[in-house]
Amino acid sequence: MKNKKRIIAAVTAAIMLFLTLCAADLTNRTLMRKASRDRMQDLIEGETNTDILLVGNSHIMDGVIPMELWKEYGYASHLLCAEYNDMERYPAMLELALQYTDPSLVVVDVDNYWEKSPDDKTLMGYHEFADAYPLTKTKIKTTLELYPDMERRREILFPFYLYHSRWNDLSRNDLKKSDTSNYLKGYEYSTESTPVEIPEIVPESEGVLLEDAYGLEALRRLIADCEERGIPVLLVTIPYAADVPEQQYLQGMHTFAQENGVSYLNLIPEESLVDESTDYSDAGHLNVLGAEKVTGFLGKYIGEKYDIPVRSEEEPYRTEWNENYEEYQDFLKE
Amino acid sequence: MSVLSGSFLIFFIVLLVLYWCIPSGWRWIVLLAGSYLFYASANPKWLLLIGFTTVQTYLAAGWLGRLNKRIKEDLKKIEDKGLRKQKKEALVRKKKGIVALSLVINFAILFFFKTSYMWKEVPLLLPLGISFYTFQTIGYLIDVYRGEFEPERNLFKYALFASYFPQMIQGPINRYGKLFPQFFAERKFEWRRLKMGFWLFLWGMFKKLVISDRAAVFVASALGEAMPDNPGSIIVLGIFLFNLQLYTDFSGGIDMVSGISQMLGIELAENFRRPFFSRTLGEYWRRWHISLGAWIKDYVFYPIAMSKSFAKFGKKAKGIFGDHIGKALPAAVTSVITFVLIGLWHDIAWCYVLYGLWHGVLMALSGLCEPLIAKINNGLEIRRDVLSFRWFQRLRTWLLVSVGESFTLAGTVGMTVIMYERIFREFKARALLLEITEYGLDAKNLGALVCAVLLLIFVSMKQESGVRIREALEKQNIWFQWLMTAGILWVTAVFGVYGPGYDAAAFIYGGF
Repeated sequence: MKNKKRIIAAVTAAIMLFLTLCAADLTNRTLMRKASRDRMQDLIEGETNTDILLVGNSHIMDGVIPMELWKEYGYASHLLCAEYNDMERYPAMLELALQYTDPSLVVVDVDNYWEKSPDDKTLMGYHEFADAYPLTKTKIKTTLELYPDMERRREILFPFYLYHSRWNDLSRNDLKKSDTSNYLKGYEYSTESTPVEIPEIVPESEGVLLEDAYGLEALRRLIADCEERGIPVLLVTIPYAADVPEQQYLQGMHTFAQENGVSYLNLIPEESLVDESTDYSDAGHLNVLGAEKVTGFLGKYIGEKYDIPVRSEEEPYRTEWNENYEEYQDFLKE
Repeated sequence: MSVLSGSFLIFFIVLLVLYWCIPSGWRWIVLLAGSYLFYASANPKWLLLIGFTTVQTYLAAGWLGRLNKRIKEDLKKIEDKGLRKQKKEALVRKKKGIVALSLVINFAILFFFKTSYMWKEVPLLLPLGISFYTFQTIGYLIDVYRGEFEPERNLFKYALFASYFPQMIQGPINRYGKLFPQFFAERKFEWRRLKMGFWLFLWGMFKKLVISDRAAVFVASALGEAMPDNPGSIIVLGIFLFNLQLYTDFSGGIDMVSGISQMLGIELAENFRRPFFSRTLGEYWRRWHISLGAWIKDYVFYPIAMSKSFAKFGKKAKGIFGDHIGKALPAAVTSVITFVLIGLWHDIAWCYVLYGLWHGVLMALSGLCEPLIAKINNGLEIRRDVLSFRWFQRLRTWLLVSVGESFTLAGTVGMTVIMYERIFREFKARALLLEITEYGLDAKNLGALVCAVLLLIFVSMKQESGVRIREALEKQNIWFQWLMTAGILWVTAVFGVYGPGYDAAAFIYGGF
């Protein structure tokens, strides 16, 4: 009799505990901001491997379209980006993604290597990237390295700490499953068109490397990590209206690339690549027209220089990614 | 280490497991080590202060104990009455000297830290729990002086009484006779105790995070820097909400630490008994911050009111004003003195003197005017035992308490004048309808606050009618108990005001 009572109590407790955990998980998922989920869910949960990872800020996020890389070249790629991102966060972002994929190339956007973004903005950007990643040893490690402040650590590791008050601000999108993650792959779509004036192009010979620049230390770390894992690194700069000093600093990255044994592709001097009257959404970012051109150029360059698996005929890539591409086309039509 | 932090959670779980796993006789050592660790986590330098007060009062109490013994035993051996009286007086003088010296030393330390903002550009941080352990140890010393207890011989056991960590955050002020024996009582681990303590902790957390910290957002906006420009109606609502904030912050914090202590099998002193159900200001002070009120009554009020000089004063007053005034006047004057002291304990500032005077004078008048009030009530045939009158009295008490709090909210006498100027000249009642969402809380947050307050009122009314909520919950089926526990945890987690930018872990009375 006593044993029966104990068993009933234990089973009841187990059921209640399970239901409580389910309720907690549902609450957490509902209240979480969806930006990170929409960008990262397929990379974290998808069945296919991602062969090219593109790390950077809003410039590359608006400038390269993974679906175009798939259609044109059969490459499976994904962007690891956030707005206002600075290089300090790049190694951590890559490390988080490497838990779920084994890439053949890492492309790093270096257009702001001298600049540290304001903390509050990089933090929000980092949330939009990292929130979707489950709490793992790697996430704990990278967070502890990036944020010495306890409060920041708490909100990155336990996003509920930040988002619990979103009950006040829930929309329909919070209650449904992500429907954009599969085809955008981290790309930020923009159709806005603003004519931009591009300053005089600075030649490579006038490049100036800012040796003590804020982001270079992190970039060296990222390159070393990739080298250790045997992943080649390509540094790039996506076209934008960079002023003369900025162009000089960017041209200086050729020296850095040589010193560190990686390639650097600066697309700003490629004057005929994008049309400054139609292909920009603002002075810093490309719209979809510009992004298509840059993606085509980049894909060709990668194909010539690196050994990247072409997955267009390989299952389950073919089915999954072609479906994604069709969805992307429907999205464009809309 | 705040009670609302992950580090405290880990600290407490480790302590709890260790505490219940070791033999009963060793548990107090775990508590002492845990208490000092907790204290050191706030600031290791402060250990010197609490250590000093502990050792100083321990030595003083030991000395008092020896003197008490001499008075009791040694004097009996002296046959000459005159000599015995003389010796006794000398020993009592010595005892008084020891107590006085201890009082001066310990209150000087407290005063030093509390007034540091007056003479230091960057004020010193008030050491954690300094008011509470000072009051507690001084209370113990006076009890030993009065011969109510034998002094504790073991310094480390006494150190636990002075430093027991749950009471360090914001009290309550525990009495030696009730708290000390509990540390050494033989007790077995019981799930029930753990559950009850956890429920109390949860309820405190709900009050603190869902109600207090939400009300605080409105209060800060309505009564902060922009107060001189805000409509009087919003200021009045802000004052009422501050009262609610203060109550739920303080009582919520006390519930949390009491729950923590209950999980360890130790009951802390009761500090709140639903003060906003009080029908008079006197009753309010018997229900609000009970442990401080009782301490002040036992160690300040009675010693003054019963002193020879006050007895003489009472006699004189009786001769001039008659029986009632003669009796009530010494108590009235003592009331004013003690409430001003209570005010000054909060902060050495004019607004707190005003706060103390307000309460003291009202209490004094209620005693002095008692016959007059009774006559008016009888003359107007007012029935005092009906529901409507009881609620009128409760509202009146809350109003009077709120006026007292308003002095402390303004911060200075000048700002208090401006505050009341706004209330009387720019009331703008419409602002309560049209502008209420412009003071930090939008409509949904105000709705959440109202719902949470309704739940608090419901629970409080049940408690007022004698229902013991936790005991009643315990009698329900296990799934219902679980549902309620998970429910309150869920409500607090979702609707609690915490996260980056909020210092939800700070308690208002932790600063006193």
